[in-house]
Amino acid sequence: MLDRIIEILQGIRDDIDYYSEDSLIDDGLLDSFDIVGLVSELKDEFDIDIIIDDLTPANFNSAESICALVKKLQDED
Amino acid sequence: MDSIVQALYLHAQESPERVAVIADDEKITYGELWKEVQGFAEFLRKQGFPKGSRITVKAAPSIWFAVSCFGIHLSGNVHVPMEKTIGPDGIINIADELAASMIVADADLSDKLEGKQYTCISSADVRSIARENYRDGLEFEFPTLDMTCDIMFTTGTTGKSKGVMESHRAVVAVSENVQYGADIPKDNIYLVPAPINHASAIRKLYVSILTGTTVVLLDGFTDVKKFFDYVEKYKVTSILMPPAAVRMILLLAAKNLAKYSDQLHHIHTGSAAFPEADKDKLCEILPNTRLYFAYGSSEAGCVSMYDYSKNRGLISCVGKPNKNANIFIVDDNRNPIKSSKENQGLIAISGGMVMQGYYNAPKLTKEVLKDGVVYTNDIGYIDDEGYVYMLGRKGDVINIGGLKIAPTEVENVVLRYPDIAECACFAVEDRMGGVVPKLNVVMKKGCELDTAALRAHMAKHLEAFKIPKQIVKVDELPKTSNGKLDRKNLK
Repeated sequence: MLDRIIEILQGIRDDIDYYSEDSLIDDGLLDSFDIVGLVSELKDEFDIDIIIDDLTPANFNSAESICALVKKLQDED
Repeated sequence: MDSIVQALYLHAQESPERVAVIADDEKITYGELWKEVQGFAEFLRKQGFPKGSRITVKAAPSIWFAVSCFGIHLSGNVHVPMEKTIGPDGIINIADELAASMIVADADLSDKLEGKQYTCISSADVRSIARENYRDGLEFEFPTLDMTCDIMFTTGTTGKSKGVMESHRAVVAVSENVQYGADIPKDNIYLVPAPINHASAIRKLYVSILTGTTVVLLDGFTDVKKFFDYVEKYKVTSILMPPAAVRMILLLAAKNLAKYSDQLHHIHTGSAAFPEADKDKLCEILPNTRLYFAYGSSEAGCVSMYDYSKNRGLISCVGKPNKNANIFIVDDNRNPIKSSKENQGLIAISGGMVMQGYYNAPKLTKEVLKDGVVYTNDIGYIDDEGYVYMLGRKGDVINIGGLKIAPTEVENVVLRYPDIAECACFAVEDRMGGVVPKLNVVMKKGCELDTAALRAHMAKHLEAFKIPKQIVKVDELPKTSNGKLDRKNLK
């Protein structure tokens, strides 16, 4: 799942090392437009429902934290 | 009222317990803020800078930022906010360019200050410095109307961008424009989730202090949960939402926003093209909220506001001129004309809120500002009822044998067609060596392009020559780094 999430992220911006970067939001590497696109792709790809309580920088700061969020939402389903 | 800091003083006398600013879940009242502002102004006075010295501040949505901003104003100096993402070299570039006297930043610049005429203090120390320097009985002269208040950089990363000089007169005038334009309630609580060095954001801080109301500062829209937490927790009644933020909230959390239709007095949007479809959607989910689109610029401030929730359907309308603004239309030689939908010209603006000029750039200033009038490159007209229409930028206009097409006018019509998510109208060469308008469209999910039906829709609203000859479905449109349509890269 991590590799697929990184593929999606690379589709948004391909100049970031998503395996090591852990401040995607805090450092402004992804902006609000990117998050809209990302959330939409994650919803489609993993058939999950992301609500506003999930839309925090902590959940989107790294590929791993996004992966953990997706797994949590799939488990809740 | 000669300055916003004078308004702060008056409200601190009348309502010292009222909350002035909330940031990082901390509150400061008018009484406390006035004390800290005096303390910081006293600290600056002790430095012995001549009045009018430039003090650059790496901005952040924090209480210390308000203290330093109004402390700088009260001490008679010039406040220069910079982007919060600016790096050490950018900070030094701007300080050099402005011959600044001091930098306020959260960056370690110790190895870059050798031989410089300015010093640097940490933003984290602003409030403790202010408290240490405050004592009862401090006396200050308030800044006068014509003194420079702020220098606003249009972009803040290279130090090469234009610095717009605003007098205290301009800052008060533009704040009044927003106050009266939006009819700000006496108990307003304004949420500003935008970079506080941006003109539209800092003006909401100013209008809140001018009106003795409360402003809540938040670091942008990326933390959507926090945005809604703040709306709920602080009983927010108005919000600054740039078009991009509106689009984001509509896509991610329209239902959540809809819950606050009764609580929200108004939403203020501006600064970029705002798709008509997003306006319609916002009207639907917030039936009891006023929805203002503000028109203006760095050079002339906010000059008109249009409540599109009340007057739906006036495409490209930006409202009537605000309290301190005079808007008129000129031809290419800057002669005033009687404009109409059929006789469009360029928008010109005068009034107390226009800039003093660009810092250290008299030639550039002359191109835009003459005899107190800002001449924009915005194409528009004024109708018989006094409503102003802004149709696009001069450079974007498509000229077909003398017939002119403003791409945004076409795009605003196309965006009202239900199947279209995004679109862009631009010129392409035809086989005869002339140009024709072309339209690229991004369809909403599951929708197919029906060119004939789309043409029929356009024909209802546009003259025949404005209807694009080519209509092409694309997956996406080119965007600039801040999410606006990149017109130069359309194909």
